[in-house]
Amino acid sequence: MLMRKIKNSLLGDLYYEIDHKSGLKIFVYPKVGYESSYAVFGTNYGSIDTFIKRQGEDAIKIPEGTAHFLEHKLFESEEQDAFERFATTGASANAFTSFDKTCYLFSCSNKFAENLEILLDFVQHPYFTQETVEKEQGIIGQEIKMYQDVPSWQVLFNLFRCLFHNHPVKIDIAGTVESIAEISAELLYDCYNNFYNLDNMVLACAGNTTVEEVLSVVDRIVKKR
Amino acid sequence: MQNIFKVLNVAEGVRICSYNTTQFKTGRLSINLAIPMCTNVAPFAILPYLLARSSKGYPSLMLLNKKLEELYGASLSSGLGKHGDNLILSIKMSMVDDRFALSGENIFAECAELLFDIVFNPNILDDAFILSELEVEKRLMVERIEGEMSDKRIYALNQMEEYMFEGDLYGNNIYGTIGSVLMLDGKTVYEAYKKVLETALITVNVVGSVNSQAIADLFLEKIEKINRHSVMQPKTKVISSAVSVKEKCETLAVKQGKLVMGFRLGMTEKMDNKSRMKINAMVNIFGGSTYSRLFMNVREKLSLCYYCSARARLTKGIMIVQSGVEDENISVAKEEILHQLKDMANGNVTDEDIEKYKLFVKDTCGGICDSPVSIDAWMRDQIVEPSFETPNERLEHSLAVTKEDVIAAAKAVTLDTVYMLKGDNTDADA
Repeated sequence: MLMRKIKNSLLGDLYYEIDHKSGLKIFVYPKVGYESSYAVFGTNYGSIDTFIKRQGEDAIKIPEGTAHFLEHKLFESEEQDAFERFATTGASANAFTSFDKTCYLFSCSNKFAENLEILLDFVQHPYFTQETVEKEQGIIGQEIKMYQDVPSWQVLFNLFRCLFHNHPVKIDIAGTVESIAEISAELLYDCYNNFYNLDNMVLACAGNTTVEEVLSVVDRIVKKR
Repeated sequence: MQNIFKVLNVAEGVRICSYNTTQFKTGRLSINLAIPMCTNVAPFAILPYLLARSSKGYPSLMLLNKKLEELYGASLSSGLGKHGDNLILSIKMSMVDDRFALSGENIFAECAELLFDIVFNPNILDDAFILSELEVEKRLMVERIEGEMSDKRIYALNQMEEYMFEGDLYGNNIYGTIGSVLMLDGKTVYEAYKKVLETALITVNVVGSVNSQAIADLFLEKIEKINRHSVMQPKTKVISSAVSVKEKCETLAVKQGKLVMGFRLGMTEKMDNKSRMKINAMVNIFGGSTYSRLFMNVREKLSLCYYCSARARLTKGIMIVQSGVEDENISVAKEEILHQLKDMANGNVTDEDIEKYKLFVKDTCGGICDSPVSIDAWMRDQIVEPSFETPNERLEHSLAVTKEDVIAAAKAVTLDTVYMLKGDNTDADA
């Protein structure tokens, strides 16, 4: 494990950059005097990553909106879903998918270690069934339609479609009602295995926490390399 | 931690709220003016925007921006809000904390000078705002109103409010109408400006490592020159329950239908903070978070929507539920929302619900004092309240809520207005 201290003496602030033995990159920014803390766990996989490779096969194209769909579905679990788990700590949890990353996050002012454990755990334990995938198609279908009525979003993507004829940045992050209909539980597992490995991921924590606290949870919860 | 809130009542209707701390690198200063909602809000609504673009001391936006750059890139912004039957005009500044000034400048004090110059020495000529300045802000205001019409989520909410509060000024758009904005002239706006300074409830918020007394003195020096009279007494008309349900359905070229429901919360005008928090707990458990009834059922279980949430506006005694749903599912969603509310009123609230709410509120209150902007917003939110409440006090009230309180609060809710926006089946892209 390698730890670097990044310090600004003028501002009196510092944060730590850690290369964890699991392959995970960690940033910890302790903020003295704060009550709340934040953590973001993200992977280098977004809407512009449009191909996956299965072992021994050629790369295959995945439907538009898969990264975002996967983000929604990771909250699910065989037992309690992530939102229910965070409800037992009081934290506010959320997630977002952008062009090049998918991130899961929470903010809290109590029980940071417990929340961090939930975050690391649910992102590392995918659970998809065909039934829950179909249920999500309804919810995301409405998310897509909501954005279709937001002029600023439409203008942005119209611009991208004019500027980029081939680059996948022109694809709507959530995909289309038609493209997400092609997503299956199996495909989600394939995408998960392609992109959600710790060498491809970052954990960033800030606020009322310490390096020791973060590492004690990470050491225990993250999967071994 | 939270006992560093300080409230000074320095003159009739003038309050200086401060939060003294060295926790932040950024300080925050705002001036907030509350006036009663009125029939024609346009000349008042444009003021925070017009004032923040030039003053006597800095007669153009370029000169004003240059000054802000000299203050280590301090920022200046305007805001407009509604709190009960009152319109809140705000001008806010963020600046680097004095302890980082390279040559020991008093940045906060300079920002206060600048902000007060903007408010008390406006860019006027012969008792009228300069026309060229006003015209720019009129155009921007029209664009702001048009922007709200284009954003169907806000549009649907505004339509519901207008319909629910027919004949009540609360239903008016806070920016005014496009027609009334276009009619504005320099004299009318100057008259409105004078009226605001003379009669508004004023709160100056100070967050940072500064001497708030010095800021208060500086402000008093300015406000003493104003002929303050008939200072407004904040009042809000609260209707406890709905007599019948009003329904309105509109058709527009939209891809997604919108459902907005307005409820009366069984409140009265004189409810204390403790009772308010009981109602707040009910609204939160009903639709205020990801563990709420609406999220769990309307979204997760029935997959009817991406968002379905309830928000309370306690000063006005109402709750608003908003959702974006497929046209043909609007009535299913509506029935499920009402069913969830009825279920709670019938006593189906668990100890677990209450526990989750308390954890949630503990977490939310804990974060309020971690950002200068949220501290400023917290203080601004109380401008028309007779007493000042700290986040800790609100937390205490929230933690005292019982299951019985929540059930009783759910029982008191009545549906007043349902607004639906549906697509007209033509291609919106066409």
